[in-house]
Amino acid sequence: MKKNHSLIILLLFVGLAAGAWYWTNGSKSGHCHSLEGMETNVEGTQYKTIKTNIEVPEIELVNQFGQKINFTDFTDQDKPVFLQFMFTSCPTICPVLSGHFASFQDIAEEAGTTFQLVSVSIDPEYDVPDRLMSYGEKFGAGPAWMFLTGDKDEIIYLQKLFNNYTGNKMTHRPVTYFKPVGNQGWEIFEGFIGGKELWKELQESQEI
Amino acid sequence: MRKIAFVAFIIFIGIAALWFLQKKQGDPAIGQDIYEKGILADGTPLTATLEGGALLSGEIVSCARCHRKSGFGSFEGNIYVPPITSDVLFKDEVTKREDLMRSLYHEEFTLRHWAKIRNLELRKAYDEASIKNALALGLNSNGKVLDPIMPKYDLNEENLQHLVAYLKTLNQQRAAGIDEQTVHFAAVIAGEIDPKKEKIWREFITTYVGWKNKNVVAELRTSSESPNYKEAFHHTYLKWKVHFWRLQGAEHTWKKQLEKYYRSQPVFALLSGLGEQSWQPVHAFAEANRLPSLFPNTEQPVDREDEYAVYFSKGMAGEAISLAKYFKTQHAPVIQVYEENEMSVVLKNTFENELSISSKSTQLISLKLEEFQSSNNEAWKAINETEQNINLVFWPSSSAGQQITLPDYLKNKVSVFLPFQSAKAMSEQFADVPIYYTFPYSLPDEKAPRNYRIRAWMRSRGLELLDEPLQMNTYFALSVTDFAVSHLVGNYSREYLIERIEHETENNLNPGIYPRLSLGPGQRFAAKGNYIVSMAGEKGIEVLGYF
Repeated sequence: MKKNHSLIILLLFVGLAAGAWYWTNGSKSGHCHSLEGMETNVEGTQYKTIKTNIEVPEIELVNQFGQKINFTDFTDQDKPVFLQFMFTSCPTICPVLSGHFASFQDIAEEAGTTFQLVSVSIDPEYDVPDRLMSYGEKFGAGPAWMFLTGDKDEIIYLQKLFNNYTGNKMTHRPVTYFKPVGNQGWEIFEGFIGGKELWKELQESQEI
Repeated sequence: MRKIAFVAFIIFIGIAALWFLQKKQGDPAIGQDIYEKGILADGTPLTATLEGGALLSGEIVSCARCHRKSGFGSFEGNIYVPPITSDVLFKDEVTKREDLMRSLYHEEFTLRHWAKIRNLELRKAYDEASIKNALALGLNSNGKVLDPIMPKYDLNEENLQHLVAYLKTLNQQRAAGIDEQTVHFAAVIAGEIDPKKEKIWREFITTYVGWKNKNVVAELRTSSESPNYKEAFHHTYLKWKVHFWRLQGAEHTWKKQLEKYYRSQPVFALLSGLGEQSWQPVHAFAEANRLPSLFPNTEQPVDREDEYAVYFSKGMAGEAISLAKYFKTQHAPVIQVYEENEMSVVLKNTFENELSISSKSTQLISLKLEEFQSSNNEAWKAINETEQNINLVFWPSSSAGQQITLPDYLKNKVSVFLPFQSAKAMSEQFADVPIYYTFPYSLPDEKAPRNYRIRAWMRSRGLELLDEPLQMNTYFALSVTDFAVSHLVGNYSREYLIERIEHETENNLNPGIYPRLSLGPGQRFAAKGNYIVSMAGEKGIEVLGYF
């Protein structure tokens, strides 16, 4: 009987430990598959890089012109793709993220490189195409910069795939995703990565 | 003569000096435009450079975008934007537990922020020169580097003076409607109301406030015994007093009535509210007096995002928008039928307007009720001749609906769309015709966990569930305001209250009457759309979608 008790206690302890491990480590990986590696750039810029594979499904969204767009149209094309989650009424984080896209756009356009910028609204019911359009105008968005809205549940699904869903738009994190040409994986830049750094990342991805 | 000339000279010098000083001090009104809209004195946009080199201009880099209109700053993700109200900016930094609390209890932070909290170096009061350094170089008044998320501004002397003049006015006056121990609110009863409904609503508010005030008394009694420094927050525990303001007679007299009430009892905000007529006079009064108006129970709000009036939904105008959004996804032509009545015309125009936004494919014919009803009219002929199905939309002038007689030969050619309020009254007229209507509320199978908690709270307070939408929505208005006011931590600014309301509405407090309630900076309608459903007898409700 006594032996039985200690066995139960031992099992309980093991269970608790496993639970705690999952809570601190397991749950973080969320929907991101195969975490390949992590590097931190500490030379002045404030972002860190994580590489991951994200299998993007066929989701129908709507762009700033009110046209229906299949999300994989972006991700499967023969151009480097940069993606951010944002919303137009966002006070601090999104204008800075979009500002960095704007300065990348200037650099890349001047260099004559083809690229695709995608800003996905995490407040799709409010961010109707017209609002996305006027937000884009504030940043001088060109033809290679698409703003997307759509069904709320579809966008939550997309956010979860990119491990970027917090349940409350005011607690979202500043993250930029980058998919180099011919690469199935995505690079995740946590923090604020500037236009010049994005350009540098693009150059480095093409050297390999 | 020389004496007169001398006096004139002195006066001239005096005026010149005053003019010069005035100019030197800057104009707070111009400063406000720089602060809120990013527009400089000469009308050109404010420009700023982000860390990383992006050059941006206008509203997107205005001070208010991050520090908000109130100047109290904001939290977003792991970013903490500090307050820059005059009582903070122009004074030496001090650490107060209740202020620190604001920045501690909230969400996650960057390493930089934690490092700052742990190696606290209190900055000096800002003056014009150090504000210039902060804006141009990103340095605080001690010469330390500010968070790099703060853009670097290109602002000349003149504009700087205007901006500083405005910053000196930010949060200078304590808002009216707050006294030593009490926050005063007004709950407006706008026009004729079903007395039974009013009784349920009043009783609900009185019970909530009684319960709240009891808790405040208990907190105050025990705060000195609390190990958690509750005493520091002592001054922020205020009781509530809700004054019921009844508006009677013609709508154009409501403004005067509201002003009279407000003079005899200033309030901090208009809370909840009940009305079956237009909310426009109350809305206008709230905006004119910079008075938050929070979540009234009305079907006729003002369909515009202003500063101080916050609503559950756009009401019937929102239904017109949702229907138009649905038709934009369809190709069939639409005929809308309206009456020469203010409400009906507003709905007709809202529908027309939304349908024209980024869509050219939907054909629309607008007809007055008499035109539509005169038999042998062009519209009916057109419907009869076309191959396509036609969508008929009716905008009745009241919930009693319209009397429509549809000729038999059209019945297999049309689908009828009705606004929710009159769907029941009108649907019987359209036997054998597919009927659809807008549905602003949650579907029967959608459940909000909070609904159960509120029911439990009601039971414990002895409140019967008599009018679920009214009671649940009123609970939402009261509880969101309650959270928002307590998060002001003694900073009774009405603009700050609105910003906290925007934030709290995001926090899963939805009692389930609407499928989703959310707000963001500048957003004034918490429910963003409507279901479009069919009145399919056997199958129950069939949902076409949420638009």
